[in-house]
Amino acid sequence: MDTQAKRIMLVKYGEVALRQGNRAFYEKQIMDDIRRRIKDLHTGNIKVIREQGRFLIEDINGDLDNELILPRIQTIFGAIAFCDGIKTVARTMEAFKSIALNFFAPRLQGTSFKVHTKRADKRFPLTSNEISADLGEYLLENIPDSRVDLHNPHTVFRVEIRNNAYFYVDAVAGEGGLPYGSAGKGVLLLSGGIDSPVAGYLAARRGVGLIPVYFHSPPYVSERVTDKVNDLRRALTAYTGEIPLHTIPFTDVQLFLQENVPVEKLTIFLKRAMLYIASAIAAREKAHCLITGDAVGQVASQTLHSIAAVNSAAALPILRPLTAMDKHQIIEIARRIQTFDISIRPFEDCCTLFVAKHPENKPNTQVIERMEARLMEMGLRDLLGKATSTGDIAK
Amino acid sequence: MIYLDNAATTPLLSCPALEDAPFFANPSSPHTLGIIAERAITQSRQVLGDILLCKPAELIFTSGGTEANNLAILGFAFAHMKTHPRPTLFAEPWAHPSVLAPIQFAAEQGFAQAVIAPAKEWNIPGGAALCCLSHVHHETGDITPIADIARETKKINCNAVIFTDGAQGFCKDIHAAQVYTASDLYSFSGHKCHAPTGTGGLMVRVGVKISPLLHGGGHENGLRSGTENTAGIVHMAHCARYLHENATLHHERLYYAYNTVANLAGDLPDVFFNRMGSNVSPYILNLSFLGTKGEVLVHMLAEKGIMVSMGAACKSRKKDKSALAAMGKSREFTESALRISFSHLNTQDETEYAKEILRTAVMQLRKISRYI
Repeated sequence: MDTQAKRIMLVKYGEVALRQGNRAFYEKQIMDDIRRRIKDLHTGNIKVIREQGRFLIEDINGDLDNELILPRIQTIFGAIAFCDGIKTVARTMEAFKSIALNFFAPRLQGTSFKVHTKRADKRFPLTSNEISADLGEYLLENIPDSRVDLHNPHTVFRVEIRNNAYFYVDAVAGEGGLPYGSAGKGVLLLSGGIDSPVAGYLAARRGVGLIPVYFHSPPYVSERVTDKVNDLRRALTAYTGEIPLHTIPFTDVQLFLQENVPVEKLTIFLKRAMLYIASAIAAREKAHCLITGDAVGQVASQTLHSIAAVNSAAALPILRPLTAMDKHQIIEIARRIQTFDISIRPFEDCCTLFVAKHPENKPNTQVIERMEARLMEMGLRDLLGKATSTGDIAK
Repeated sequence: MIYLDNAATTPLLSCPALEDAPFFANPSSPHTLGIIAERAITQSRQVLGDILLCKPAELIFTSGGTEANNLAILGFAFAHMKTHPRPTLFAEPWAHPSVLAPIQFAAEQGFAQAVIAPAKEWNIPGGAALCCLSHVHHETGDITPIADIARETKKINCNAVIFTDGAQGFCKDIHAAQVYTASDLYSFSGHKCHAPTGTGGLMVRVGVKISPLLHGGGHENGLRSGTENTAGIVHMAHCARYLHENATLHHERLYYAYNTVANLAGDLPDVFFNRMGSNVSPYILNLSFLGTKGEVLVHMLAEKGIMVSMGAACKSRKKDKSALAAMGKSREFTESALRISFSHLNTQDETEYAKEILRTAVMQLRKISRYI
C-alpha cells in the first residue's frame, strides 16, 4: 500500500454553489456546521478545508475515520453528497494505479464503472482522457467481475489532479437544500401528529430556522403528550441543532371557545387562536413566517375554505410545505426523518374531545371574523395575551 | 395524593427484616453470609408455601407475574411439544396480555395449539392441555370460579393442567384457599402486594411437567436459573403474610371504599359497571361514564392529586384491543371506562373525596363534550 495516500472525505454541495453573491456566506455556514458537529470527535487534528466547490475533511495525522464522521454530518442541509476518497501527493501513473486498486477494488468488483478524470494541474504529462483510459484498463484487468460502461455506469470512479491527486467514488447522498437558518426564522406549530414535524423539516431544509411552539391543554391532554412533542423536537435537532420548545398553556382559551362558539365552527376558532399566539411569539423572536403542517383537503379544517378562514389571524405569511402532498408521501418523509414512530404514539388529544363529529368544512371568512371580533371583546384577547406571556421555553 | 391505581402497582410496605440484615450475599456462596441469605429464602418459601397451601419446594421465584405466566405457558408447551397431538393451550379472550401473548407465540412457533375462547366453550381434548384462567380479572375485578371450572375440567380430562394467573388475586381474596388448591400452576406478583417490583413466583404442583425458560446455574430446581433476589423475596414474603393475616380486616375497609365510589352509578345518569358477574373483588372497580373519555378523566383527576387508570396500566399506552372489548363492550363503553383500584391503605376520607372529585370531573367533561 502506498504510504503517501490517505483516506479523506469530500463533501459536495449543490444549490449553494449557484448563489453568486451569497456563495461565500452559505459556504461558511455549512463549513461551520460541519466543524461544530464533529468538534468532540477529535483534538484539533481534523481539518475542514474549502476547495474548488466542495469541502475536504482530512485528518492531519493520517487516515480519516469516515464511518465515525459521516453519521454526524449526513444531516447537514446544503450538502448533496459525501464521498469516501483518497488523497495522495504521488504523481506517477504507477502510484495512481496501485492506489486505485488498493482502495477501490471492493467498490468496483462485480459492477460496471467508468473512470472520470479532471486534470486541473496541466503540468501533468497525460491528458484527462489518457489518464482515464490507462487507469480504466488497469482496473478492468485486475478487478474480477468488473465491466466498463461509459454511458450508464453503476459507479463513477473519479480522479482529480490538482496540487495533490484525489480519488473517490460517489457515495452517500446528502440532504440538499440550503444551510440551516440561512433564510431566517419561522415559528413551527408543532402538534403531536405526523404532519407538523415533516413540515418543520421541509422548511428547515430550505434554510428556515425553527422555533417550535406547542399548545398544551392540561388536564384534558396528558403530560405524556408534552414529552412526545419534545421527542419530536429532539428528532428534528438531528438536522437543526438545538432548538428550544415553546409550550403554550392553551386550556383557558380552549374552554372559553368551547363555551362561546358553535361546535361545528370550533376548530376554525381554535386554529385562529393558535395563529394569533404564534404570530405574537414570532414578533417576539423576530421570526419571519409561521409554519404549519396543513395539506389541502386532508381534514375539514384544511379545506381551501377553512384555510382561507384562518389565514387572516396570522400576522405573517404561513408556510405550508405539505400543501400539495398526499398522506403517504408525508408518512414516507416522517419515516425517513424518524419522527413517524414518535408521532403515532396514541394519546387522547384535544381534537377528539372538543371537536364536533361533523365540523363545518366551508366556513365563511367574514362570518368568522365578525364573530371573533365579538369574542375578542368578551375576553378572548386577554386570554390570548395571557397564554402568550405565560408560555414555557425549554430545551 | 390519593392513590387509587393499586391494580397497576401498590405502594411499598416497609420490611423490618431487611433493615436488620442486608441480604446481599449470593445464597449459593459457601460462607456465612451466603448461608444467611439462603436461610432467609428458605424461610420465605415456607411462609409463601403456607399461604398457597403448597409444599415450599413447589415454589419457583421469578422476576414477577409476567415471567411466571410465561414460564407456566411456554414451559408447559416446551415440556410437551414432542407429544402427539401437540399440547393445547386454552385461555379466555379477556385474559391478561402476559397470558395471551405467550400462547400466541407458542402457537405461531408451532409448539402448541391455541384455543382462545370463554371457559364454558372449551372442548378439552384427551392429550396434554393447559387451561389458563385469571383468579381476579385485572380490569373488571371479576373473580373466576376456578374451583368449579377445575372440577368440571378434570372430569373430562384428569390430566388437564389448571393454570391460574394470580397477579390480582394473590393474598387479596378471602376465599382464595379453594383457588390455590384447585390450581396446578399458580402465578403471583410481589409488587401487587406492596412488595418491590421485580419479585414474583410460580407455584408448580409436584407432577406437573414444565421446562425452564432460563438455563444456567440450575437454581429453583432447575426451573429458573439466575441468582435469587434475596431481599426481594424476603420483602415479598413479609408483605404477603401481612396481607394474608389481615385479609378479613382489610376486606371490610375495601368494601367500604368500593361501595363509596360505586355509588356514583346511582347518583349520576349513564354510569355503568363493567363486570361479567356478581362475584367481584373489592380491590378493583371498573365504571364507564358515558359521554366522557377515560383518558381525559384520568388527567383531570390526576390534576387534583387522584391517581386512577383506564384499562390495565401495562396496556394503556397502546390502542390495543382491550379486555373490555373482548368481553363485548362497545367503544362507547371502553373509551369512557375508568379503573379505580383500592388497597387497604385507602382511608374513608380519601375515597369520599375521590368520589366527589370524580363526580365533578364527569359533569364538567359531559358539559364540554355536550353530552345530554
